[in-house]
Amino acid sequence: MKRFANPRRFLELVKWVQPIAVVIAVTALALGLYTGLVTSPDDYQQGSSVRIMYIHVPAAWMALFIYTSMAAAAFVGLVWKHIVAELYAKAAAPLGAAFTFICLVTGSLWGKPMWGAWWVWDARLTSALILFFLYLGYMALVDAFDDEQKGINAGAFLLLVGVVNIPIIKFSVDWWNTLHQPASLTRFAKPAIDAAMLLPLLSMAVGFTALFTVLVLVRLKTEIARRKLKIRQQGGGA
Amino acid sequence: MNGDYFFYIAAAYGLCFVVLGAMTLLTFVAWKKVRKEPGE
Repeated sequence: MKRFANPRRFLELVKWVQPIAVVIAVTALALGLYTGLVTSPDDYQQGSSVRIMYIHVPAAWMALFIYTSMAAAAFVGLVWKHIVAELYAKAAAPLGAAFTFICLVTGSLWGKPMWGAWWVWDARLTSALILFFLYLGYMALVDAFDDEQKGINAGAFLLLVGVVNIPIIKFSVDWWNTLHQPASLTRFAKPAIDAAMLLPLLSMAVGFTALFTVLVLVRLKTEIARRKLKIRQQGGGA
Repeated sequence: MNGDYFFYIAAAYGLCFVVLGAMTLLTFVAWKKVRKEPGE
C-alpha cells in the first residue's frame, strides 16, 4: 500500500484496473437488470415489489462499504500522511452519498406498498438517514476550509467519529425491535433466499461495486491532477 | 411481473438510473475539465 502513496505509481495501477472494472460493471449490471426484472420470480409475500430489493440492498451495502473505506483511508491519511488515501475519502464521498440516497428512497418505495408508510423512525432507517447526513456533513466540512489540507484533516476526524454508526446500522435489526427485517445473508449460514433471487441481488452488488471503482478512480485522478495543477500555479506565481 | 407495484418498481429503477447516470456524467465532466486546464 505504501507503494501507492506515490501518485505516479498509483496512476500506473489505475491504467489497467479501470478498463477491467468498466467491463465488469457493464456485464454485471446488464445481468442484474435482466435477471432482476425479467427472469426472477415474484415473492410469495411481497409479489413483484421484491424486485426493488435488487437495487435497495446492494445500494445499502455500498453505502456502508464506502463509508467504512473512507474512514480507513482517513486513518491512513492522518497517521502516515498517505496522499492518495487522503484524496480517496474526498473522491468517494459524493458516491457514498448517492448510494445512501438510492438506498433510502428505494426503501421508501418498497415500504409504502408493504408497510403502508413511506417512512418509519425505526432503528435501521434512522441510522441510515444519519449516515446520509454524515456524508453530506463530510463534504461540506472539507469544502469549508480555504486551506485544503486543513479541510481534509477536519473531514478525517469527522469520518473516524462517525464510523461508530456503521455497526449501529448493521446490528440495529438485532439489537432493537425494528420493523425493518433482519439479515437474509450472513457469512456463516446458508442464505435465506432462493438462488433465483440471489443471482440478480449479487449481480447488482458486483455491478455497483465495479461502477463505484470506475468512478472513484476517475475522481481520484481528477483530485491528483487538480493538486498538481495548484502546486504548479503556486510555484509559477512565487 | 404483475402490474400491482409497477409504479414503485419503475420509480425505483428510474431513480437509480438517474442518480448513477448523473454521478457518472459529473465525474467525467470534472475529469475532462481538469484535463483542459493549461499546464495539464
